[in-house]
Amino acid sequence: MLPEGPRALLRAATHQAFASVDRGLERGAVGEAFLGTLGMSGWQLGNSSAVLAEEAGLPGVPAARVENACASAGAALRAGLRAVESGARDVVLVAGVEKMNDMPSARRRYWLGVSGDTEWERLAGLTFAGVYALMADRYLTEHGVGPEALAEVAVKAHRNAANNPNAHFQKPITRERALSAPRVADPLGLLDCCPVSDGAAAVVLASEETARRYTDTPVVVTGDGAASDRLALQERESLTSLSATVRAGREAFQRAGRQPADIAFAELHDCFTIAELLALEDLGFAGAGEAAAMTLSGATAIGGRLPVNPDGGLKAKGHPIGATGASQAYEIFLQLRAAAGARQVAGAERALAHNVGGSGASATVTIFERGP
Amino acid sequence: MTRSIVAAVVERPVWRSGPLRVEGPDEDAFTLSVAALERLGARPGPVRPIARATVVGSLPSELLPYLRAAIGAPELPAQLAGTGRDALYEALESSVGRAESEGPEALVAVDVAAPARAGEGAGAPASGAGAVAFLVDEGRGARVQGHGVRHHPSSRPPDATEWVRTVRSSAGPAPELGGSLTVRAPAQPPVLLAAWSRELPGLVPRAAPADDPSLGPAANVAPALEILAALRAGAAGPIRVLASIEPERTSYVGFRLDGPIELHGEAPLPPDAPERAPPEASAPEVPGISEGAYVARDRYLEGIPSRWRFVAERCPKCGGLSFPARSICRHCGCVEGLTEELLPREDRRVEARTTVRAGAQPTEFDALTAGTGGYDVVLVRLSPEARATLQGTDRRPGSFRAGDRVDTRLRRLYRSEGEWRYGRKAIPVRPGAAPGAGSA
Ligand SMILES: [Zn+2]
Repeated sequence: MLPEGPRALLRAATHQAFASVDRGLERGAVGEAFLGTLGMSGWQLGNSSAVLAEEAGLPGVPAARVENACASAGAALRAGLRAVESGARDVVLVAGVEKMNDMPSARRRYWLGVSGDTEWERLAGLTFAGVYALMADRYLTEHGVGPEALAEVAVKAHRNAANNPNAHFQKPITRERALSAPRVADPLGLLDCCPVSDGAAAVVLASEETARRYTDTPVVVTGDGAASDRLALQERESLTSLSATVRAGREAFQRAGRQPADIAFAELHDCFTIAELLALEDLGFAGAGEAAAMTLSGATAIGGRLPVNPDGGLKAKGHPIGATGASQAYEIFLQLRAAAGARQVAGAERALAHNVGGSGASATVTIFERGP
Repeated sequence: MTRSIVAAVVERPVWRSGPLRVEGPDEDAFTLSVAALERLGARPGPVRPIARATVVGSLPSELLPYLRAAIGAPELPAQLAGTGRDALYEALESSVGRAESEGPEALVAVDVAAPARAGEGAGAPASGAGAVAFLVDEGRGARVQGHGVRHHPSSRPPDATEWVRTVRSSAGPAPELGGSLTVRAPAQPPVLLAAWSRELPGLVPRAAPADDPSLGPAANVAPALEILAALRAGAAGPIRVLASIEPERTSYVGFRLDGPIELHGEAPLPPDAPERAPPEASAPEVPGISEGAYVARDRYLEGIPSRWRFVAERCPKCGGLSFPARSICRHCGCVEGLTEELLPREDRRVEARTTVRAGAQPTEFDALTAGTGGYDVVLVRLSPEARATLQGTDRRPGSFRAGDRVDTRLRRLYRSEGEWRYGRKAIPVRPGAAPGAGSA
């Protein structure tokens, strides 16, 4: 089989998205398109949105690329929401794509540091694994917890991904294996890190009125928020909390008129296992230092109090950088329409997606609800 | 008042290769010179900033501007004064002889290791690395009383009596040669440190600093260490003469001590100091990967004040501190009237640490990782309001822990765009060597 490049990935994702519209969607209805991509490997550093329009079959439609590193698609989703909200467009396409496996590993390592601070972190020899390792080291030290909770995030992610045919990893792992995996940047080992994945995802947004023309079971975005933070970890207030997540979460909950307790399950940005623990606390699902115990208790497993990443998350489903934010929306779309198969979260009515750029310099939070 | 040598510092690399102390993957003539100057306190300041810097040794000339940047004096006159014993004596005498109004002067003698290579002259010995910095200022200390070279037939090395005559004639009419005489001679033992009195009882052999097995015949640092040893050994008053007798020529210099000199010897090696193979002649360039993020030259240069010297800025409006300094208050956005503040560089605490293992490093550090298998990165608390992300060095990877006390030093990072990139790194706290401790 020939390998798939970004064009093929985008084509597959957008055509599937269009095909998923219950009563069909004529292409001419799409008024604008937004593409999230980092452009890793430099596949199309400029004007990549034109590739989206071409592959989605939307000739002439205005398209723009939105780049916020790993939160590119989360940011593209916001751009799409604003376009619809403002009344400027009735229907908008939001897609994300990343092709990461078409370069030699040395070149890939070069790219994995491009979205963080280069003048301090990169010069000290850090890529993202190293930056998150510093947060993990501080988290474990500050809260006096061991690495088992980190390992449990990975175990849960792999278990969920085994039921996701689109996931990068399809096999469960044990906690022992996670703990004894080769070290990458301790306390993080190989199985604490998301894999290097190719992928694309796409969602179609429409105004509520328009959506009714296409489906009887829409998924409604009831609130969203976003924030930025200092690029370099050293300049942030805390090493164990991402303030961009905190602010984005508060805004999203406020706009939706909801609280953490209202959320049935969450798609959290677990690029490294530590990131999921921080997100649980920053979004108010757990108190400071309590995410470790919450995870070890099984509360974040499917069937638990707050299932996290039923699709396997970035950690096991994969993290094709620019696609991740859109793939979270895709999973929530499936779940809220009770179409997630073996990994279905029973009775889920509300869900939250959390997408982080780099090591926390940007974040988006979106709250989705089953349509009335 | 006159000008004298009033303070001196010895800085040696932490890396070793056999008995020799050698420059490591992240130490070289530049970092050793900067470390010596920093410990000497040679920096600009409100009180008597240094007015000139001179380097004797093998520092590439293109690094002179960086030396000025490293001590925060971009306009400082700085010069290279050649290499070798005679150049050092000459530079010291010139510096001491300058008018008092010229201000304090820093003088560095530096060597990088010269590995013994097969086929490069039989028996050419290997040498180690190090730097000695002298501060010459108005005040009491050591005055250079004269120096010179005397040529003589190799068949007949001069004896002590001859020597006294030579030094007397060149050092002028005044001095009574009552102190010690250091003679470095090609005979056995190869190096003699001799006590010499007015009555000329002869030469009493003793090991001289240049005999230090970790140094070898380093042309710039060995003579500087001899000077320090002689200054440390004697009381104020008489002239001390150092002489190096070679088969065909003899170089000598005389000093008179008229006050105490602040001597900062070499700091002890950390217990887990790394070993390494002898340094390669040339370091690999970072592979020329054209796309992706890297720190290009202008951004590297722009950030030097904060990255090399920890320059921060204090806001006149809200009182907040911004680090790194970017000419804007990070708290209130104020861009006017910010004042520079230097954050401390010694005895800081590690707040978080990691060990980056081979495979997780940015491509720039491939060469370093190949030799060490990884390296530590630490987040260091510089002040209540500032942290810095620094690579850890001088210890085996995996040795740093949260809570550790660290000092910081300017070191090599990697080669890019045809030149070395330097940055501060964290090292285990090296207790300042007691004044006078050191190399003998
Ligand atoms: Zn301010």
